[in-house]
Amino acid sequence: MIAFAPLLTQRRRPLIAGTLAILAGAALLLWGQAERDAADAMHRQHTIRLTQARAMHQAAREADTTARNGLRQLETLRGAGLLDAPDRQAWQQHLLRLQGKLQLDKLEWELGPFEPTAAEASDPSAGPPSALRVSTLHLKGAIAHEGRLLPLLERPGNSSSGLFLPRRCRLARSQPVPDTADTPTLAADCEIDWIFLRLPDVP
Amino acid sequence: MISTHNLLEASRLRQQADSALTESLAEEARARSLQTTTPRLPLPSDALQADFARLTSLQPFGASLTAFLHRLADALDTLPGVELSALEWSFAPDQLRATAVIELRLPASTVARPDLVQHVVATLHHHTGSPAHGQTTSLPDDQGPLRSPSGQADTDGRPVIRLELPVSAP
Repeated sequence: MIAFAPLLTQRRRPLIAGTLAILAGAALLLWGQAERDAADAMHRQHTIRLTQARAMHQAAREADTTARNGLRQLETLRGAGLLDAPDRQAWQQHLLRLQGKLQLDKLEWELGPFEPTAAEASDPSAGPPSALRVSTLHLKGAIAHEGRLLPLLERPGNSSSGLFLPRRCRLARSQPVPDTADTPTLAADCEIDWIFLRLPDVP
Repeated sequence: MISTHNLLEASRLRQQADSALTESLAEEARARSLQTTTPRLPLPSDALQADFARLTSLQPFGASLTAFLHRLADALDTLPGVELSALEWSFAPDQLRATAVIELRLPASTVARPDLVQHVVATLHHHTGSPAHGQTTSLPDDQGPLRSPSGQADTDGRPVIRLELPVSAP
């Protein structure tokens, strides 16, 4: 023990230096590992952000394409007059004129208000809410012959708005030979839809 | 040695992370720029698509009844003595299908022309482009009325046939 003490005293500095070197090496190792872990975490985080940014850009591209297609569709509909609300007053005047001109005294008609189309009204949960609106003309009565019916099945003279769509029409001759050319012998019962796409009002 | 490897690896990862961040920022900027220039639709795009598809599919049927009546009149002009006694037109928007059921009064002399019904059907097919269904093929003979299930006689004794014609969009 007495002989060991001077040896320790003699080798103390190298031992301390060795211990310090080992501690420094360990610290360096830990620091290097920590640096690597931190860099790895940052890399993962930025890779996730990049993936999200790419997805966001892709979604923006798709939304842009869809919106531009939608605009083209709206222009097509506008060009065909399908965005313009049919003029029910003009339709009424048209029918009154025809009734007077063709002497359709035994013909009754009713122009319905604009309503959602039948598919939308019957099952609103079937799909995206439709902006289609329809006004239905119901014609009922007696006319002289089929030729008198044709002008009633056409849209009012100058109007190009909406889609004019005869949906149901029943004609039945009540007597084989009319007394005169204008004797109403043809019973008519028809429904005509006038459809358009109503865009929401711009605030 | 291990520490040096870790530090080099950390440096490489940081470079890649910086590169990913730069690219992310650029992508985000491009997305934001695109979002600001994307036009706004007055309706949700899926609703617009559905309405557009519906309107464009219905459009051809707008003039279908008038066109059919004209074609039917043309056909009847070539069939002397054959009269339209009833017509029932219906259009099913969901199925995009129009159907016309017509009732024709044949001349009283139909007995003398047993092929008249086939001739009427062929003429209608020629003018309207629609094959008629439900036609009668047997006609009264000299021993009394023999009619098909779809054939009948009206009050003035003239045979009546009832035909169904699917109508395609003009």
